[in-house]
Amino acid sequence: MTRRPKLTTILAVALACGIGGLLLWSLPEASQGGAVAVERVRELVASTGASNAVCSIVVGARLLDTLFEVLVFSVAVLGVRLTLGRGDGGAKEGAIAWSSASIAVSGIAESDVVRRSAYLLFPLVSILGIYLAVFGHVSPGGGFGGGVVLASGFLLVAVSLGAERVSRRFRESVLERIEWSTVAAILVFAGVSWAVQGLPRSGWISPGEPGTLAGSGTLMTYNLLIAVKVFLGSWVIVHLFVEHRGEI
Amino acid sequence: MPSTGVIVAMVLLVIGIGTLVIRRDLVFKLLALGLVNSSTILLLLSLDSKRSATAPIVPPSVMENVVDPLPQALVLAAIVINFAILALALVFVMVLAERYHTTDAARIERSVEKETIR
Repeated sequence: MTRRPKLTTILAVALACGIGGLLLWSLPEASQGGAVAVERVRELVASTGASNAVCSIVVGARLLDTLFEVLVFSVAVLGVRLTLGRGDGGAKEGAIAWSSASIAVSGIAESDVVRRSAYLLFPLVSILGIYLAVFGHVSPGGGFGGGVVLASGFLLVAVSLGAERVSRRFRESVLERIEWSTVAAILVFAGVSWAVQGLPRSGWISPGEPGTLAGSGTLMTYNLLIAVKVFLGSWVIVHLFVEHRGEI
Repeated sequence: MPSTGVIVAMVLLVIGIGTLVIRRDLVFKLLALGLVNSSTILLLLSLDSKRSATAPIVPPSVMENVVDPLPQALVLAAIVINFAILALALVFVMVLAERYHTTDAARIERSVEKETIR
């Protein structure tokens, strides 16, 4: 006996194909590219001093947009923390009372190989994360990428040694304070830039020689602050998920 | 003729939207949402890709043929926001699953209706 597709399935497929077709039909014939792109990149590099044009846009020309992006990320982290999070001394007020899902998670099978590999890889991953944040304006990378790499290094240790054991070393309240202080620092930094130069600008420090580490004005500081913020936010999210994994 | 990246992005978009509407499991819906987001990222990057062009990370002196950096900056924002939204949505799914012991959207709706009638 063959199953006939439901009307909703047919409608869903038609809707999906329709949206895809409509987008494909409305695409521009050719991108700007070429000379326009080169000219745009030249202007950006000259105005910010960073040879990574993407970084120049993210924390330079589109700084205001990035600030709101950081705020959206912070609010999402806050939502995850309030729903899943537990304070140092038990469940926070308003947090869900987890039963079977909230089990203490030990390391992956207590394996010696996994633990040693994690110890070996953790410094390398951490250095890579810091490198991406510090050199983000002159090479591929940036604050967002660096922060996520740092958090993934901590996650590696958390899943191999046990999330409880790793998170015991950090006080949640301290992490929370550092996280929101970083957000405040980014906002104050941008506010001073606005007051001194007016947005959109990368900062009040004039750019030096393009392509050098110190030649990007305040871009490196923004990248570092964003990396700290994204690292702490991502760590909170992944460690809470690891802590609350289990059978429902 | 659209590039291969654009066509793949459209196929992913269609699969994502279809799964989003057809599947009743909330976890699958979130996976589909992630697929739609990935297709958007691929579309934005493919629109301005050129075989001979290099990444826009070069000193001004050797800058000749680079891709437009603007779509790449937009994509960065999309990735971060998508990560945050997926994490938050997953937490909401966990809350619903903890309360109703299922991730089936239809069964959750029925349970909520029963609770409302009581």
